[in-house]
Amino acid sequence: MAAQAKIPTPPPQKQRRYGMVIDLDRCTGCGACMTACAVENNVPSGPPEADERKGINLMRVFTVRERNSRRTAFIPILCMQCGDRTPCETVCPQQAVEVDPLTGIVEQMPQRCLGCRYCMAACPYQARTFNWWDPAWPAGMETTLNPGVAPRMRGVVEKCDLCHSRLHAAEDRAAAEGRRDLNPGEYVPACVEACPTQAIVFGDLADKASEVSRLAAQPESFRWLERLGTGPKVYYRTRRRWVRDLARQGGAAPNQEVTRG
Amino acid sequence: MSATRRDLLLMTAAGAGVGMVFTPVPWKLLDDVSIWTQNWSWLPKHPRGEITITHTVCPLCPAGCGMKVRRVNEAPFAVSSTPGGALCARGFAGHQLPFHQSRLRTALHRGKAAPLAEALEDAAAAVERARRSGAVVAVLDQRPGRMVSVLYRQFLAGFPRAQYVTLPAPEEGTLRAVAELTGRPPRSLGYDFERSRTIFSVGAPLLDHWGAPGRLLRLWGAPERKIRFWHAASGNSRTAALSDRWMAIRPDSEHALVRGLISILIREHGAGAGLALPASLSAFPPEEAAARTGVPLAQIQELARELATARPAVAVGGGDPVAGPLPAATEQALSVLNALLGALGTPGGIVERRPVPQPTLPPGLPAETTLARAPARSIDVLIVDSASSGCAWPLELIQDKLAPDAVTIHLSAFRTAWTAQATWTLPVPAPFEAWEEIPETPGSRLASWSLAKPLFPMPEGAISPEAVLHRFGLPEDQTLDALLQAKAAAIEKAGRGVVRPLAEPDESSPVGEGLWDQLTEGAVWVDDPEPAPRPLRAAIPDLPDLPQVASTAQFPLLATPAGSRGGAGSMPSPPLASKLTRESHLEPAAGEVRVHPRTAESLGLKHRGRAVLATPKGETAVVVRTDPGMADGFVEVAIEGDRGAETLALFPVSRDGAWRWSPAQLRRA
Amino acid sequence: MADMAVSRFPEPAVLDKGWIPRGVSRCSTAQFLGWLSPWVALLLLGLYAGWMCLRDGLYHTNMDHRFVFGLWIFLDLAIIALGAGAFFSGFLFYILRWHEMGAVIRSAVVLGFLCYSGAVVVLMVDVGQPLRAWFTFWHPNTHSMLAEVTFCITCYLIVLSIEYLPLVLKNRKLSQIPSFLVFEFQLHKVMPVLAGVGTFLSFFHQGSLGGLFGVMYGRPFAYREGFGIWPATFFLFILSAIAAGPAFLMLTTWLTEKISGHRLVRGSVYRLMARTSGVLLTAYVFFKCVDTVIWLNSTSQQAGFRPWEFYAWAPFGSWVLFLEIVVLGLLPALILLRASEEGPRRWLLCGAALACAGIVVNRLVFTIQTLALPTLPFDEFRTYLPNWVEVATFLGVVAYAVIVYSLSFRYLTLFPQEKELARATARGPQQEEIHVSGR
Repeated sequence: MAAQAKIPTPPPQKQRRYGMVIDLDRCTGCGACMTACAVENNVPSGPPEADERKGINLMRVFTVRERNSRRTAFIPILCMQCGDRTPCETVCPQQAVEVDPLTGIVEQMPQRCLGCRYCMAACPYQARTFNWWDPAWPAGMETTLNPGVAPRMRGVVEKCDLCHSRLHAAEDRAAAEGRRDLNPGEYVPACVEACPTQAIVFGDLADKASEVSRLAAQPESFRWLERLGTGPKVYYRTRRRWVRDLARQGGAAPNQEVTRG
Repeated sequence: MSATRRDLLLMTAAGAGVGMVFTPVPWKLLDDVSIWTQNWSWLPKHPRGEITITHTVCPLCPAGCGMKVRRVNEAPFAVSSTPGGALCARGFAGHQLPFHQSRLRTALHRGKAAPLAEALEDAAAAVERARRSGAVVAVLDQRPGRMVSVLYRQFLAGFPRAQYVTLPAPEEGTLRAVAELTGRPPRSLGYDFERSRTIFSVGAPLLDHWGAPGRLLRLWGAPERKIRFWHAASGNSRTAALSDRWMAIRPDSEHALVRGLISILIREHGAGAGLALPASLSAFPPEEAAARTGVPLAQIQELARELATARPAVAVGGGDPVAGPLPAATEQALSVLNALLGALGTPGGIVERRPVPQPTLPPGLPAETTLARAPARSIDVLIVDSASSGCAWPLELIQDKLAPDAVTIHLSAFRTAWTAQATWTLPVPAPFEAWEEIPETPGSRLASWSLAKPLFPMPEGAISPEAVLHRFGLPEDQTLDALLQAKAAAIEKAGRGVVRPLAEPDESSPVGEGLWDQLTEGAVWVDDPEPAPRPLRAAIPDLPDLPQVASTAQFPLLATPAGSRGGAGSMPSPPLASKLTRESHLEPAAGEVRVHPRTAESLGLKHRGRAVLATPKGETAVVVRTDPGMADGFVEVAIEGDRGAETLALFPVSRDGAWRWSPAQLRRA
Repeated sequence: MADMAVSRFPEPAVLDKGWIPRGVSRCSTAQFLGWLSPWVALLLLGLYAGWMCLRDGLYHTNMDHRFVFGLWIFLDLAIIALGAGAFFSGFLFYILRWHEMGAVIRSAVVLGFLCYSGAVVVLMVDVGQPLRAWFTFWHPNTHSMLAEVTFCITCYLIVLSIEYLPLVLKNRKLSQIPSFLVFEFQLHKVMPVLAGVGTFLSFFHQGSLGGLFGVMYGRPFAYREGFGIWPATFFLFILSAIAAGPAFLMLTTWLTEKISGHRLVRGSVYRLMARTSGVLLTAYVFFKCVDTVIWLNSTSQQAGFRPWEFYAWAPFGSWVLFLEIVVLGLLPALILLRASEEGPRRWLLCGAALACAGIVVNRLVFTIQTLALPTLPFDEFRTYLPNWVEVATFLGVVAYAVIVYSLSFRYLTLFPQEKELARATARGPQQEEIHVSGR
């Protein structure tokens, strides 16, 4: 404690708005991002009966088919880090969801979560998952867990927090070098790093000079369900018109041509 | 009002009750409760310690992709690709594989646990009996070309009758056909995709499970890409989705399509002008190709035009990790197509791959035979190596080659459908627990060599394949280490190629002294490209016609196996990779079949409903998934997980070793 | 309950006579135990199912990431709405001084207590970490409707317990203990205050339960605009709950009469409740129509969803809307209004049953249909069916309610008019007829 008092308070950090632009024309649906995400965040493999309905996936790649032309798009969905009106934050009865004012990251605190799942109902992207099971690993596999991330207990909600532990590690490294702010590229989430075609560009949307800001501003870029006014910080881009047309719709009706494969 | 003793007691009790709220006791209790809910004894504690980084290559399949491994207390906890590399979804979770639930901790005798010493002694006795009686001893190698393969051959040299049998990489099916056409040795050719303009894949999953995943994805995802991808297949795979053009051909009509293309190229584009062509090649009517494939003739003609004009163009067949090779006749037709495209020995086509400099080997080592060519019922003692190709092979292929009462000895780290058939299973180190050698990637145009580092110590009770061979009679002075060192020395002596450190691939250096140290520290040796490929001369043969598989009244549908590399086979999938297939629909999930909604409706089946899949060889319970991307009347059967081998056994293996199609029936369970 | 045999068979042994209120007859102990035993069995099954979820996790249920609310939340909302009879009759009796409501007020309190306590028990199984339930009080998010609901329900459950207590203390045996009698008397004095507090709390949480859905701007099917911080569903849930409360009270009173074989309240009380329910239901249907029109034509379109798009998925077609508003809204409102003036009692009960069903369908639509509909344009419509664990847990709570209500009916005076009506019946049917019509 005494030693801590001697450290001068660091100057306030730059305010950031971390976000990403996912190029759907480069997504191959290989699933590397999903696996890398699960490994990074100590997501257990789950029992054999866990399926798409109950398995923990902080990131999920949807296969979207257009029926008549047989065209396919792969659409990765993760927490959109809604910035304007965060649907999950306002509904949580006990403040287990918090938008970090410094980074814009929507944080989920599993230690405080009651497991009422109201946030999951409120999230239009279904980017939140609930731990239906106790986390379990085969004997010995716990030695391969990421030391930076605590495993979540059964009965709580979890979601993507843009690999928050990586942000902490990057900030620690920067602090050790006497820097206050991070350099671009110093902190990237696991999915961004894993993508074999570099389909995901990650960075600070508040920094107008960043690649991610430049791409987000382009006419090919869009966000899902923009009209709900939640201000997602995850952008998508594609040159394919039919995929962009999808984004203009609110929901999908069964007589439309798009179905999930 | 006077207070009685009763009132006093009541007051005390109530006061204590109210006062309790103002003591730390209830709050501490609540606090402890909340802490307890976060620290259940059954919640694993994540490790703490110093974090280090190791660069190595992935040993899971022959692709050998570069990996950057983050480790805590020496245990790996996360992997990522090395700069410029691209790991597949399996690779990202591979380091957890040694803890798979099916991991073997003991030897097995006919599927039942047995002490290792006892199993080893009995197996050695069986091998010794075979040596004395002159019975045929064979080794099955799924990854030929390694130094441990040489060690196996040295071991086999000590037997009067021996066979060295391989299951060659399915990616190289067309390359093998071209090698035969041009008289080159096996594994001496590669694809020069980097310089191609048109890449035409016939059922080859080029953009998902083919060769090293990063190679083609890099070409596909290149900004301002010049290469056009054409894909002809029945299944709506990821390759079909990502290709520039996908021809959804009818099941099993690949041969007709290739024949049609050959015919159009000769007739309309003057292909093969300088070659002596059998007249039958151009006699094949393109209309028949259109009729058999169900693709409009104009589209086939458009493809032919593009192949003829947008050169260099190359055609690639087979290579599906689950559906297996194309029939040999189709691969042969593809080799002829490549010859007509002028793709043999030209930049952007199929080029010679110089062999890795090898140490001088003693004479008399048994030659390599592919399993398909080994005589039926000829093997008395079969030793199966542990290294997996990531492909699912029908076990029938192996069983057909075994003599009655044959003894099989599996070297395996896991209990799988393969070990269930074995007489003895000896527990060997899992991937990441021992050094693993990675020769060149299937399909690559340059020879390469790297070593995958162990990330875990070899566990108690496991035995290395080398130690097994020594116990089985291989002289103790013949060691793997010596062979590997000799290979390094041979490369150094040849002075060819460069060494690329995995951490910084751009800082490659020419081969010099200390190659061995560089490789063990985390580097890849890559051969120098030849300045100009040598043209390959081929005599064009007459092509036989191939009948198409047909549905019957009893089996009105056509089924094909589908799956991902490493999803089923002689090694299980890493747990998180199984999770991926189970919880997303990016890969066929275990026990599922995919059909078009119309097909499902006509059979009275529902999305996610239970059904029974039957083929002439048997039946199995499945879950139906409808997908509008499928062709009507066509069933894609997932070969994945524990039951993968059992499901694959429903597909008949043809005489030339293909199992891509079966007539099938799907009915409600 | 289960006194059906009383009038038909010779008097069997009533071993617990000393506990039964004076002036009323109850069935034999053996019959009563016979009536209870299947409910006890159901309760035990429910306890086992709930324990499985608490011990192993919620994977035993058929809920999933999409259907995060299932049978439990749906029925919790439904029984809380039906239990609104408790606070609303309290409001009518104590605050507006409608003395006729005194005939059912005690039964209403017990029913309210059972509905609320049952709902809370199910909620404790439904949340993933029940041991952290108190976090809501410790770190409340004042923006969250759920925090408001939690606060109000907890407080109101305490109020209901205090309201229930004097009924218990008035039991023939317990009231022999002098201090109990004194305590009961003291409680009785604060009852109007409690009724006031209860009314306030209830108004709020009934509204907040509607607000739960109305504020979800990420779910255009449920989202509603409103006044200030309160979406339209806030007010609609209050209105629908107070409309359904008396209707539910009518149904339960009638059921108790049927099962016990005793007349319990005068016909006039039924008619009063029917009229109250009918008027409120009419108002509800009116406002629900206004809300639906605004929502379909403005609110959901602003979120990018076309009108009727929500009803394009089978089985939730637009018939659900018709069923909810017309068949189970307007129709029972008319029946109740008409039959409260004149007409046979079965019409009153039919109207009450339809009104209750309407409220249940409304809660089903907001919980299940909201979750079944996709929001992302490429996502799929999903369906959900509860599995045995969910059904058994809920039936356990129903069994709990039946058991406690049966015990209360047998040992406490839930219907003050019962004694009087029993005497009237003994005198002859004609006089009773006069009594009923003599309002």
